[in-house]
Amino acid sequence: MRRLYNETSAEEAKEIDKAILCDSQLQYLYHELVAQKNELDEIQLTPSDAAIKNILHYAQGLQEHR
Amino acid sequence: MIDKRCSDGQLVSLYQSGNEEAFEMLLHRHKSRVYTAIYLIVKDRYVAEDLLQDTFIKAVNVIKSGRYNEEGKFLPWLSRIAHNLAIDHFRSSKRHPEVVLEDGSRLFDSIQFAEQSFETIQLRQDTKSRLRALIKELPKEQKEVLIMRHYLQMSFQEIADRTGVSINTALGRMRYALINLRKNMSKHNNAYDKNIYPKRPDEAPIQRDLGRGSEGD
Repeated sequence: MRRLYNETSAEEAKEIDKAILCDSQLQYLYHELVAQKNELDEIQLTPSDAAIKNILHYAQGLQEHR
Repeated sequence: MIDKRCSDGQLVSLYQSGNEEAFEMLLHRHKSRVYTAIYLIVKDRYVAEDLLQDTFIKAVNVIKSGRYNEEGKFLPWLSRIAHNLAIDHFRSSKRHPEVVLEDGSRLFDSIQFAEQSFETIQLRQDTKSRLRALIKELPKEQKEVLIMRHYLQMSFQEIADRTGVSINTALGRMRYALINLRKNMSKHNNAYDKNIYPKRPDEAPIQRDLGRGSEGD
Protein backbone atom coordinates (compact mmCIF):
# COMPACT_ATOMS: atom_id res chain seq x y z
CA MET A 1 0.00 0.00 0.00
CA ARG A 2 2.78 2.41 0.90
CA ARG A 3 4.54 1.60 -2.39
CA LEU A 4 1.32 2.19 -4.30
CA TYR A 5 1.01 5.67 -2.79
CA ASN A 6 4.72 6.52 -2.95
CA GLU A 7 5.21 6.60 0.78
CA THR A 8 8.37 4.50 0.82
CA SER A 9 12.03 5.49 0.71
CA ALA A 10 13.91 4.79 -2.54
CA GLU A 11 15.60 1.85 -0.84
CA GLU A 12 12.30 0.31 0.34
CA ALA A 13 10.75 0.86 -3.10
CA LYS A 14 13.60 -1.10 -4.71
CA GLU A 15 13.14 -3.98 -2.29
CA ILE A 16 9.38 -4.09 -2.85
CA ASP A 17 9.78 -3.94 -6.65
CA LYS A 18 12.20 -6.87 -6.45
CA ALA A 19 9.74 -8.87 -4.36
CA ILE A 20 6.92 -8.09 -6.80
CA LEU A 21 9.03 -9.26 -9.75
CA CYS A 22 9.81 -12.58 -8.08
CA ASP A 23 6.31 -13.45 -6.93
CA SER A 24 3.65 -13.85 -9.62
CA GLN A 25 0.77 -13.76 -7.12
CA LEU A 26 2.05 -10.57 -5.57
CA GLN A 27 2.59 -9.18 -9.06
CA TYR A 28 -1.02 -9.91 -9.97
CA LEU A 29 -2.33 -8.35 -6.76
CA TYR A 30 -0.18 -5.24 -7.21
CA HIS A 31 -1.35 -4.73 -10.80
CA GLU A 32 -4.96 -5.11 -9.71
CA LEU A 33 -4.43 -2.49 -7.01
CA VAL A 34 -2.73 -0.12 -9.45
CA ALA A 35 -5.62 -0.54 -11.89
CA GLN A 36 -8.15 0.17 -9.16
CA LYS A 37 -6.21 3.22 -8.01
CA ASN A 38 -6.22 4.57 -11.58
CA GLU A 39 -9.96 4.05 -11.82
CA LEU A 40 -10.43 6.12 -8.67
CA ASP A 41 -8.72 9.01 -10.43
CA GLU A 42 -11.14 8.76 -13.32
CA ILE A 43 -14.28 9.22 -11.25
CA GLN A 44 -13.34 12.65 -9.99
CA LEU A 45 -16.19 15.12 -10.14
CA THR A 46 -15.97 18.74 -11.13
CA PRO A 47 -17.82 21.41 -9.17
CA SER A 48 -20.04 23.81 -11.08
CA ASP A 49 -18.66 27.02 -12.60
CA ALA A 50 -20.98 28.98 -10.30
CA ALA A 51 -19.35 27.50 -7.19
CA ILE A 52 -15.86 28.30 -8.52
CA LYS A 53 -16.94 31.84 -9.42
CA ASN A 54 -18.29 32.37 -5.90
CA ILE A 55 -14.97 31.35 -4.38
CA LEU A 56 -12.98 33.55 -6.73
CA HIS A 57 -15.34 36.46 -6.05
CA TYR A 58 -14.81 36.08 -2.34
CA ALA A 59 -11.04 35.85 -2.70
CA GLN A 60 -11.00 38.89 -4.97
CA GLY A 61 -13.24 40.94 -2.66
CA LEU A 62 -10.98 40.21 0.26
CA GLN A 63 -7.97 41.25 -1.80
CA GLU A 64 -9.59 44.59 -2.71
CA HIS A 65 -10.48 45.31 0.91
CA ARG A 66 -6.84 45.14 1.97
CA MET B 1 1.79 34.70 -16.11
CA ILE B 2 2.63 32.17 -13.39
CA ASP B 3 4.67 29.08 -14.20
CA LYS B 4 2.42 26.01 -13.93
CA ARG B 5 5.23 24.11 -12.23
CA CYS B 6 5.04 26.44 -9.20
CA SER B 7 4.59 24.50 -5.96
CA ASP B 8 1.55 25.06 -3.77
CA GLY B 9 3.76 26.80 -1.21
CA GLN B 10 5.04 29.23 -3.83
CA LEU B 11 1.48 29.94 -5.00
CA VAL B 12 0.36 30.65 -1.44
CA SER B 13 3.25 33.11 -1.01
CA LEU B 14 2.36 34.83 -4.29
CA TYR B 15 -1.29 35.09 -3.23
CA GLN B 16 -0.27 36.53 0.12
CA SER B 17 1.65 39.23 -1.71
CA GLY B 18 -1.43 40.17 -3.74
CA ASN B 19 -1.30 37.92 -6.82
CA GLU B 20 -4.87 36.76 -7.47
CA GLU B 21 -3.89 34.49 -10.34
CA ALA B 22 -1.93 32.39 -7.85
CA PHE B 23 -5.06 31.66 -5.86
CA GLU B 24 -6.98 30.82 -9.02
CA MET B 25 -4.29 28.30 -9.91
CA LEU B 26 -4.45 26.73 -6.44
CA LEU B 27 -8.22 26.49 -6.71
CA HIS B 28 -8.16 24.84 -10.14
CA ARG B 29 -5.37 22.48 -9.10
CA HIS B 30 -7.29 21.05 -6.12
CA LYS B 31 -11.00 21.70 -6.69
CA SER B 32 -11.94 18.29 -8.21
CA ARG B 33 -10.07 16.16 -5.71
CA VAL B 34 -11.46 18.05 -2.71
CA TYR B 35 -14.96 18.25 -4.19
CA THR B 36 -15.03 14.48 -4.91
CA ALA B 37 -13.90 13.70 -1.36
CA ILE B 38 -16.59 15.92 0.15
CA TYR B 39 -19.22 14.47 -2.18
CA LEU B 40 -18.35 10.89 -1.20
CA ILE B 41 -18.88 11.83 2.45
CA VAL B 42 -22.05 13.94 2.22
CA LYS B 43 -23.54 12.17 -0.86
CA ASP B 44 -25.24 15.31 -2.15
CA ARG B 45 -23.83 17.40 -5.01
CA TYR B 46 -25.33 20.66 -3.80
CA VAL B 47 -24.20 20.29 -0.22
CA ALA B 48 -20.75 19.25 -1.52
CA GLU B 49 -20.54 22.47 -3.55
CA ASP B 50 -21.52 24.56 -0.53
CA LEU B 51 -18.91 22.83 1.61
CA LEU B 52 -16.27 23.22 -1.11
CA GLN B 53 -16.95 26.96 -1.08
CA ASP B 54 -16.77 27.04 2.73
CA THR B 55 -13.48 25.14 2.61
CA PHE B 56 -11.79 27.58 0.24
CA ILE B 57 -13.28 30.61 2.00
CA LYS B 58 -11.83 29.39 5.30
CA ALA B 59 -8.49 28.85 3.58
CA VAL B 60 -8.55 32.36 2.07
CA ASN B 61 -9.35 33.89 5.47
CA VAL B 62 -6.47 32.11 7.17
CA ILE B 63 -3.98 32.90 4.40
CA LYS B 64 -4.99 36.54 4.18
CA SER B 65 -4.89 37.07 7.94
CA GLY B 66 -1.30 35.81 7.95
CA ARG B 67 -2.13 32.79 10.12
CA TYR B 68 -1.14 30.21 7.48
CA ASN B 69 1.77 28.09 8.65
CA GLU B 70 4.17 27.86 5.73
CA GLU B 71 5.87 24.80 7.17
CA GLY B 72 2.78 22.66 6.66
CA LYS B 73 1.82 21.48 3.18
CA PHE B 74 -1.11 23.23 1.54
CA LEU B 75 -3.17 20.25 0.32
CA PRO B 76 -3.11 18.24 3.57
CA TRP B 77 -4.07 21.43 5.41
CA LEU B 78 -6.90 22.18 2.96
CA SER B 79 -7.97 18.53 3.15
CA ARG B 80 -8.26 18.73 6.94
CA ILE B 81 -10.56 21.76 6.62
CA ALA B 82 -12.71 19.99 3.99
CA HIS B 83 -12.83 16.74 5.97
CA ASN B 84 -13.86 18.49 9.20
CA LEU B 85 -16.61 20.46 7.44
CA ALA B 86 -17.91 17.37 5.64
CA ILE B 87 -17.93 15.25 8.80
CA ASP B 88 -19.68 18.04 10.77
CA HIS B 89 -22.30 18.24 8.06
CA PHE B 90 -22.69 14.47 7.88
CA ARG B 91 -23.28 14.33 11.64
CA SER B 92 -25.83 17.14 11.66
CA SER B 93 -27.64 15.74 8.59
CA LYS B 94 -28.07 12.46 10.44
CA ARG B 95 -30.17 14.42 12.89
CA HIS B 96 -32.17 16.06 10.07
CA PRO B 97 -32.24 13.47 7.26
CA GLU B 98 -33.04 14.47 3.69
CA VAL B 99 -33.88 12.14 0.80
CA VAL B 100 -30.90 11.90 -1.57
CA LEU B 101 -30.83 9.55 -4.55
CA GLU B 102 -28.05 7.16 -5.54
CA ASP B 103 -26.51 9.63 -8.00
CA GLY B 104 -26.20 12.37 -5.38
CA SER B 105 -29.20 14.44 -6.47
CA ARG B 106 -32.11 15.26 -4.20
CA LEU B 107 -35.51 13.64 -4.56
CA PHE B 108 -37.03 16.98 -5.51
CA ASP B 109 -34.75 17.28 -8.59
CA SER B 110 -35.92 14.01 -10.08
CA ILE B 111 -39.55 14.92 -9.56
CA GLN B 112 -39.01 18.27 -11.20
CA PHE B 113 -37.08 16.80 -14.16
CA ALA B 114 -38.86 13.49 -14.47
CA GLU B 115 -38.47 13.52 -18.27
CA GLN B 116 -34.70 12.94 -17.80
CA SER B 117 -35.27 9.55 -16.20
CA PHE B 118 -33.99 7.62 -19.24
CA GLU B 119 -30.76 9.58 -19.11
CA THR B 120 -30.56 8.99 -15.38
CA ILE B 121 -30.96 5.26 -15.86
CA GLN B 122 -28.17 5.27 -18.45
CA LEU B 123 -25.95 7.25 -16.13
CA ARG B 124 -26.54 4.78 -13.32
CA GLN B 125 -25.33 1.98 -15.58
CA ASP B 126 -22.23 3.91 -16.38
CA THR B 127 -19.05 2.44 -14.91
CA LYS B 128 -18.10 5.66 -13.21
CA SER B 129 -21.33 6.05 -11.35
CA ARG B 130 -21.18 2.34 -10.51
CA LEU B 131 -17.76 2.84 -8.93
CA ARG B 132 -18.98 5.88 -6.99
CA ALA B 133 -21.91 3.82 -5.72
CA LEU B 134 -19.58 0.99 -4.70
CA ILE B 135 -17.40 3.42 -2.74
CA LYS B 136 -20.47 4.55 -0.84
CA GLU B 137 -21.27 0.92 -0.04
CA LEU B 138 -17.85 0.16 1.45
CA PRO B 139 -17.63 -0.45 5.21
CA LYS B 140 -17.39 2.94 6.95
CA GLU B 141 -13.77 2.48 8.08
CA GLN B 142 -12.56 1.47 4.61
CA LYS B 143 -14.41 4.31 2.90
CA GLU B 144 -12.98 6.82 5.35
CA VAL B 145 -9.37 5.75 4.73
CA LEU B 146 -9.91 5.60 0.95
CA ILE B 147 -11.28 9.15 0.81
CA MET B 148 -8.61 10.52 3.12
CA ARG B 149 -5.71 8.84 1.30
CA HIS B 150 -6.79 8.97 -2.31
CA TYR B 151 -8.77 12.19 -2.62
CA LEU B 152 -7.58 14.26 0.32
CA GLN B 153 -4.01 12.97 -0.11
CA MET B 154 -3.28 12.56 3.58
CA SER B 155 -0.41 10.21 4.44
CA PHE B 156 -1.18 6.86 6.08
CA GLN B 157 0.47 8.10 9.26
CA GLU B 158 -1.72 11.20 9.31
CA ILE B 159 -4.83 9.07 8.72
CA ALA B 160 -3.80 6.75 11.55
CA ASP B 161 -3.37 9.73 13.89
CA ARG B 162 -6.67 11.31 12.91
CA THR B 163 -8.71 8.12 13.15
CA GLY B 164 -6.99 6.82 16.29
CA VAL B 165 -5.72 3.54 14.85
CA SER B 166 -2.27 2.12 14.12
CA ILE B 167 -0.67 2.76 10.73
CA ASN B 168 -0.93 -0.98 9.97
CA THR B 169 -4.69 -0.86 10.51
CA ALA B 170 -4.96 2.17 8.21
CA LEU B 171 -2.89 0.37 5.56
CA GLY B 172 -5.00 -2.78 5.92
CA ARG B 173 -8.25 -0.86 5.56
CA MET B 174 -7.01 0.81 2.39
CA ARG B 175 -5.92 -2.53 0.98
CA TYR B 176 -9.30 -4.11 1.63
CA ALA B 177 -11.10 -1.05 0.26
CA LEU B 178 -9.28 -1.35 -3.07
CA ILE B 179 -9.68 -5.13 -3.18
CA ASN B 180 -13.40 -4.91 -2.42
CA LEU B 181 -13.91 -2.31 -5.13
CA ARG B 182 -11.97 -4.39 -7.65
CA LYS B 183 -13.94 -7.52 -6.81
CA ASN B 184 -17.31 -5.80 -6.94
CA MET B 185 -16.47 -3.96 -10.15
CA SER B 186 -15.43 -7.19 -11.87
CA LYS B 187 -18.58 -8.92 -10.58
CA HIS B 188 -20.57 -6.15 -12.22
CA ASN B 189 -18.59 -6.29 -15.47
CA ASN B 190 -18.82 -10.08 -15.70
CA ALA B 191 -22.58 -9.94 -15.20
CA TYR B 192 -22.78 -7.37 -17.98
CA ASP B 193 -20.70 -9.50 -20.39
CA LYS B 194 -22.65 -12.65 -19.61
CA ASN B 195 -25.98 -11.10 -20.45
CA ILE B 196 -24.95 -9.41 -23.65
CA TYR B 197 -22.28 -11.77 -25.00
CA PRO B 198 -22.72 -15.29 -23.59
CA LYS B 199 -19.32 -16.98 -23.32
CA ARG B 200 -18.40 -20.52 -24.38
CA PRO B 201 -17.31 -22.64 -21.39
CA ASP B 202 -13.69 -22.72 -22.61
CA GLU B 203 -13.63 -18.91 -22.67
CA ALA B 204 -14.67 -18.53 -19.03
CA PRO B 205 -12.27 -16.28 -17.12
CA ILE B 206 -9.94 -17.90 -14.59
CA GLN B 207 -10.98 -16.83 -11.08
CA ARG B 208 -8.04 -15.51 -9.11
CA ASP B 209 -8.10 -14.83 -5.42
CA LEU B 210 -7.46 -11.19 -4.49
CA GLY B 211 -7.39 -11.89 -0.76
CA ARG B 212 -9.90 -11.62 2.04
CA GLY B 213 -11.51 -8.49 0.64
CA SER B 214 -14.70 -8.48 2.64
CA GLU B 215 -13.08 -8.03 6.04
CA GLY B 216 -13.47 -4.78 7.91
CA ASP B 217 -9.81 -4.22 8.82
